[in-house]
Amino acid sequence: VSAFFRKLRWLTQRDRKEAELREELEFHLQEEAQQRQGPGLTEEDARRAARRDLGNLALVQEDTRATWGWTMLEQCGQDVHYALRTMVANRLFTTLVVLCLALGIGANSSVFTIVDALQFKKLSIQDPERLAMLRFDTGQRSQYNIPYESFERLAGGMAPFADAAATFLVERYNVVVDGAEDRTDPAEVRIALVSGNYFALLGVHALRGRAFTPEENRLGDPREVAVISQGYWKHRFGLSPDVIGRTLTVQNTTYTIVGVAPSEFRGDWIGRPADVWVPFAVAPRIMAEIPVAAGKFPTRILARLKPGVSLEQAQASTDVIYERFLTAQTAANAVSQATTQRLVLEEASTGYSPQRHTFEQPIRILIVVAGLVLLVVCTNVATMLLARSAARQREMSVRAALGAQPRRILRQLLIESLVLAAMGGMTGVLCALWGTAALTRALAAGPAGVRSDIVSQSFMSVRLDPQFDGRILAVSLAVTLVCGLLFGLVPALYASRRSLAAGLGVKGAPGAASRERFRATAALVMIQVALSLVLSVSAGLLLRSLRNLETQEVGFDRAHLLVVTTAPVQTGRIGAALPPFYERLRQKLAMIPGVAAISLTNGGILDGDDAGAPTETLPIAGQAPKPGILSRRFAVMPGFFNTVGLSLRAGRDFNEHDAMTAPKVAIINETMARFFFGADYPLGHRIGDEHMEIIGVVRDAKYGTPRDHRAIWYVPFSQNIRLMQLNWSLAIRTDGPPDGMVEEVRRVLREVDSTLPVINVTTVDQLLGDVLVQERLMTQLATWFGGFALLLAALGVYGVVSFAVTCRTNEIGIRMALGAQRRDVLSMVLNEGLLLVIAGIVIGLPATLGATRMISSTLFGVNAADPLTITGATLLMLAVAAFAAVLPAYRASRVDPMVALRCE
Amino acid sequence: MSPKTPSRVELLQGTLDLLILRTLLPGPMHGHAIAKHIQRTSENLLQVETGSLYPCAHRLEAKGWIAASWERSDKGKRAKYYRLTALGRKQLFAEQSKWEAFARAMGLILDPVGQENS
Repeated sequence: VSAFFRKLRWLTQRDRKEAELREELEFHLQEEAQQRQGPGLTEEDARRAARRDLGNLALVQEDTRATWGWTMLEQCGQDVHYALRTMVANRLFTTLVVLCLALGIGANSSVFTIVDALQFKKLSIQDPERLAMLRFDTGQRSQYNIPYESFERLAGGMAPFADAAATFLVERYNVVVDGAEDRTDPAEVRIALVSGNYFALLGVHALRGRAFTPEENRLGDPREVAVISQGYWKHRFGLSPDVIGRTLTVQNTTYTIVGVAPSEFRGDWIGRPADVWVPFAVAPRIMAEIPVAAGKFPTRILARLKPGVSLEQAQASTDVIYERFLTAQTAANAVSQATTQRLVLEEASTGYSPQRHTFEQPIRILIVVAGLVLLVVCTNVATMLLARSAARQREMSVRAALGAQPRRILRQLLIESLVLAAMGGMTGVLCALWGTAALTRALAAGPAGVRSDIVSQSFMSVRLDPQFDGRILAVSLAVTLVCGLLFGLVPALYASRRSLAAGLGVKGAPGAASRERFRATAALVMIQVALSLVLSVSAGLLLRSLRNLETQEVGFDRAHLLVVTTAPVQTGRIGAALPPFYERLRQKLAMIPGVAAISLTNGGILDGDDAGAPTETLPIAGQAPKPGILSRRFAVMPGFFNTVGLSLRAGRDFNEHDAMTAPKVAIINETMARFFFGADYPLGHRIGDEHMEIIGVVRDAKYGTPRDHRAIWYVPFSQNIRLMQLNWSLAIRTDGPPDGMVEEVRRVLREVDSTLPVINVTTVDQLLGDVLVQERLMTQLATWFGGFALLLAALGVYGVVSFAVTCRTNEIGIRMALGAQRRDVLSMVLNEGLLLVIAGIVIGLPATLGATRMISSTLFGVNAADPLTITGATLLMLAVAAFAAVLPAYRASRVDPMVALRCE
Repeated sequence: MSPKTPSRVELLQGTLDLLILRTLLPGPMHGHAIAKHIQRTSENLLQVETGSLYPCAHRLEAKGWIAASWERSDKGKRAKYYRLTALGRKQLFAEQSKWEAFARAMGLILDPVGQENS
């Protein structure tokens, strides 16, 4: 410690120390000179001899200073200062490098921020590590929805847990603020139904007001209270301080706001933040589409482990409890299938998010693309630094001659790179702020319909709330440092190893040194070519895949169809009230001029939901269960197939005779007919638990997504009234183009019932666009970055060929003097440049094949090793490189032999 | 020109510390005098390079083994005089006995007979 303070004191007296050192050495010189002054030696000679004896004065001072401590730091400070001066002197170079780095670092920071927000960030709750989540596991499938009843019974006997809470999230529309009709919020509001102890269990305290009490959540007798998120408070109430006690009306039930949650808490579902929380017991009123008793409502269960109990111990106790629970259950109503599943505990510190699975591929693509771009940027900057170090050779030699050791020069150059990297990093963080916001926005986009559908299993959009915190800055810093070392080390090593003579020697004489440097540059350019080939091919494949998806035959008529997504159950109509409501709606809509036909299904058209039940769970009379693909059942109105443009392949459509009391009937799609019946005639077979007779086969349609290949079977609404309580997709067939009729349709819907949530009114093309929004984003990013990499590679080729031409000006001059034609010189230089590019391509091809295999599962209708795309990208690469090489090659061919030789 | 030194001995790593400390034992001295004293006392076998003398002196000062003050020299000029501190004295004796042990050990190995005879 005392040494530190001494150093500190010396630091403050640094100037005085300097002066004293100078004086001390001066005294030494005088003393030495005086002693030497003798016979035949003038004062001047003696002085000079003394000086010679002392040696390198600057070095002595330097070495002495080193003993004071702090020199390392001081020298670094000098180096940083010097680096900044050099950078200002080379503004264009600096700007170029900083921009490239900013893009590379910014891209990586943005991607990391997104990945962090989705994947790694812990919930802002008390002790997130002690939070666990329950799910059923059948071996193949996981299921987080557990009936509320089971939750209550399980929670009662949950010894390993301090407490357990239930939650379920739904989207509702037309929430009325303060009971004023004119203050209706037509947009979606995410409402989380939670058990009374939810907030207490998580340890989340209300920002204002209070959280729920368990008494407010009695099944059958709930209190109509709500806690709102800070975001919703801001958005709907303008942060008004008197928000407590005001009301929200959802589906004719009015809830009193009792609290506001803190801003950092948006529920336990990452990617689907809650706006409003209400007691779970109000479920029958909020989720009218589920026609069951309150106890049977689905929930997700969160549990807090008792202190000192590990997840494994808790799992063991849970197994015992579940065993006991099952025995009681089986005795009561003989549920057999439940025995095949396990109740599994999982760590939930990062919350719940099915989107993690949906976004696995896109995010992997993002990470790979961003990483590749950074590598390209680093190699590019290294190339530029190498080229510049050639120009700075004299400077380095002078420094070496003045006594700078190679290590010192190496350090100075590394510090210059680090300063460059730091500037790039800072600009990159700014880029990342923008990039993160843009990515967040893009990822939140997606099909509208599926978000409000509680039976849906797919999540094509994710609403993240990325925060730029210290960890992300730390990662950006680390990336920056690694970059600085990565691109700085090779050029710095080359520069610091330079021999004195080579640098101070005659200008323009290319020694072995510059040839070596040329080789290093060429190697870097080859790497750049290889990397940008990987990116270009990937981008090309994604582009082709997207094109295939967009132009894919979806089965629905694109030119004459308008699709309305709505949730009539949210108007309070259930069961028998729905068919007449549909009839009224149909009649009103049919009166709009240009409307040819109207029909209805509960299957969201291109809504991104492609989940289903495994085919083995679907009973077909007279057949053993057949596993293989997924199946899904949708209900339709008669005439649906005609309306949307799907033709029947066999049998008949539903009609008014298929009433409730008539024999149950079903229509299957071609995929299903092929899968179950092969060459057999499918009509007349019986399907499902209710032994519905198959009366028709309809053409395949791409239902949820353009990749849909499920076995879909249709039943008539008339025999399945309850299915009308799910979200509706109204199909409106138009005579002309459907785009122009959107407003009119919306007006009619409002007229029929202003409380009807209109989730979406749109065309098939638009739906397809929405469902492909993430793929388009990935493709765009890959294309932009691929183009950027290509540009950098072209710059690299240009640089290395120019360098070669400069080094060989003499040689070219001699060749021309000996009779070489301009054409010969041009093709010689060009050939050598292209040889480099071809070498890069040869290295890049295997890397490309490896990289594209990683994205093969995202590709649609195009092989990961598609020869056309690879050839195209290769040709593009060659063309761009040839263009980049032509300029310096042309300059080489213009060399005047006289001028070139006179240089010598 | 200065007379040629017959043959010089390279200083062993770390021995300069000991030499400076020993030189300062009789009393304070400035840098130049230290160098000359070492050279003279060693019969010109040891030549202290200025390039290592001053860094070494400053290092010893930083360790607190010697202290410095500005005084007038014999000729009346301002010079930086170094003197041994109590800590330096202790260090000197420790180093010295260590060195003697080392020298004896070297001698035993290099010339075992001569050592036995003496």
